Amino acid sequence: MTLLPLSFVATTTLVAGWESITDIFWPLAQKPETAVQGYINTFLTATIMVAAVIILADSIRRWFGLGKRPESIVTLAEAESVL
Amino acid sequence: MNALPIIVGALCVMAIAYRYYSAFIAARVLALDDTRPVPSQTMYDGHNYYPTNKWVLFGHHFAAISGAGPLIGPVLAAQFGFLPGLLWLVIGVCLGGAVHDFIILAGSIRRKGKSLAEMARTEISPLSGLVAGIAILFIVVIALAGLGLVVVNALAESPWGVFTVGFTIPLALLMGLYMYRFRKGKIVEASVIGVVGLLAAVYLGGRIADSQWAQAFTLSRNTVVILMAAYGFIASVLPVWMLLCPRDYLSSYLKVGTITLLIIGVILVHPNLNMPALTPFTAGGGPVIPGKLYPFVFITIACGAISGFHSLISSGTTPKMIAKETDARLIGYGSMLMEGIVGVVALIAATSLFPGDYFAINTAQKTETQKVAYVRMVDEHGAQGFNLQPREIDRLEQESGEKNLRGRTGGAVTLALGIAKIFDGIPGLRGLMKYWYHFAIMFEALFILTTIDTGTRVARFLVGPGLSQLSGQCLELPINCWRRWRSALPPPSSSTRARRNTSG
Repeated sequence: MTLLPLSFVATTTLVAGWESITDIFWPLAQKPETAVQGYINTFLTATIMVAAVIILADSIRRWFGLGKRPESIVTLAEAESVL
Repeated sequence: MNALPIIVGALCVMAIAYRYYSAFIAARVLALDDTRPVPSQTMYDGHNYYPTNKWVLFGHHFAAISGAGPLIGPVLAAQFGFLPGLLWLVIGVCLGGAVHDFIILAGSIRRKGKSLAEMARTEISPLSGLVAGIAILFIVVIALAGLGLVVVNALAESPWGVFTVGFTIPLALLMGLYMYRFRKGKIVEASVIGVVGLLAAVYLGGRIADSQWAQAFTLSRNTVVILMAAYGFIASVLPVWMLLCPRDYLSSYLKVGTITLLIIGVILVHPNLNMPALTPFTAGGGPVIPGKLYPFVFITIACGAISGFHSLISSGTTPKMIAKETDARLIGYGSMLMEGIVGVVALIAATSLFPGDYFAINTAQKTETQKVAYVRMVDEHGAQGFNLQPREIDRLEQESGEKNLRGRTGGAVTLALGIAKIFDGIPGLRGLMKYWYHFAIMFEALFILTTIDTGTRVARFLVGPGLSQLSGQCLELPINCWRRWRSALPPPSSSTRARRNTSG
C-alpha cells in the first residue's frame, strides 16, 4: 500500500533531478556568466539524488532481510521507561 | 471556470479526508494510545522537551511547516493552467503530504523525539543515517537560504513589514512568560493579549509607513540579513516555550486569519479563473518553469501537497513538545491539510489574473534579449489562439502603487496582486488595493519567517549532537593520553604511597 506513493515520489523526484541537471543546470554551467550558479546547482542536485538512491537501496536491502540490523543497546533507563 | 466550486469542493474533500482517513490511520495504522508516555514527559527538561497545549503546538507546527512553498509553488505552477496544480494539491495533500507528516511525527514520538537521521540510523543502517544526516543538512541550508532571500526581499525598504514582524518578537516573549511563568496554563488570556497586540501591530505598521517614523523602520537588505540571522540564532537557543513556540503560535493567528478571510473573500467575490485549465506550456518551454508538466508540477508544488522538509519539523521540535499521542492527528495531519488549503487559495489568487498579466509579471525582462524573447513568445502564442497580451497590468500598477510590475519574477508579487484583487472585490473593502497589496507582501514575509526560526532550531538539533560528540572526543583525547602516560609510568614506591596517604 505504501509502496505506491513511495514509488511515485521517488520516481518523480529522481526524474525531475535528472531533467533539471541535463536541461537547465548543466547548460547554465556551460555559459561563462552563469557557470558558478550552474555548477553549484548541478553539484547539489546530484548530491541529493545520490543520497536518495543510497537510502532507497539500503532500505530495500533491509526490507528483504539481506542486511543484519545492528543490535540495539538498551540502557537501564530505557528499559525502565518501557516498563 | 469560477472559483466558488473549486474552493468549496477542496474544503469538502479535505474535511472528509480528516474525518475518515486520518482517523483510520490513527486507529488502525499507528494505534495511537494516550496511556503511552511521550518524550515531553519521559525526557522533560523544560527547554526542548516541554508538554505543550494541543492548539498552541498546532499553531507552532503549522507556522513552522508553512513557508514559501504553499504560497509561491502554486503561483509558479499556474503556468501549466489551474487544473494540474489543483489536482496535485488536493490529492497530494490528502493521500500523501498529510499522511507523511502524521506518520513521521508518530514515529518520532515513539522514538523519544529522535530526528529523521537518527531514525534512519537505528531503523535502516548507520550508512543510511549518515547519508540522511548529510542530505538533511544540505536541504536545511538550501531551504533556509532560499526562504531567507524571500524574507529579505519582502522586508528590505518596507517599514510596515519591519515594524509588524519586529513587534511580534517582544509580544511573543511576553506571551511565553505569561503562559508558562506568570499565569501558568492561561492560554486563552495570553492568546487574547497576543491577538490584540498583533492586530495593533498590523494597524500601526500601516500608519507608521505613512508617517515621519517610516525612516526609522526602513532597513537596507544587509541590515535585514544581519537582524534575521541574529533572530534565528536567539530563537534556536532560548527555551522553546519562551520565544519560538509563542511567536509561531501568534503568527499562526495572522496566517489562519488571513487565509480564512481569503477563503471568505473567494466565496463572496467568486472570481473567474482567467487562466485556462491547461496551457500550451504543459509540453515544456514555459517562461516560468522551463520543463514539462511531468515531473515539474510535482516538484514546484511541494509544501502544499507533500514536502520532505516537513519531516524535519515532525521529527524536530514538535515531537518533543507533544503532550499526548492522540494530539498527533490534529497536529500532523490537520496542519498539513491547512497548508493544502493555503496552496489552493494561492492558486486561485494567481489564476484569477489574466494570462497576459500573469506572464508579463513572471517572465524575466531585465535585458534586451529577454524583452525580445518575451515579445516573440506573446506573438507566437497569440497566433496559436492563446492570448498573452497584458490586459489589466497598467491599472494594477496604478492601483497597487507599484511602478513597474513587468518582469517581477519569483511569484511573490503575483500572489500579492492576486490576494489584493480578491480583497479589493469584497463589498465594503473596495478601493483599498494599495493597502491590500502591501499587506499581502508583509503577510508573505511573516508567513515565511516562522519557518526560518524553527528551521534554525532543527539545524541545531541536527548539528549539535555531532559537534558535541566531536568536542567531547577532542576533550577526551588529552585525558586519554594523560591516562596512558600515567599507566605507562612505573608504580609509585611504598614510601611515596605512604607520604600520599598521610598527606591525603
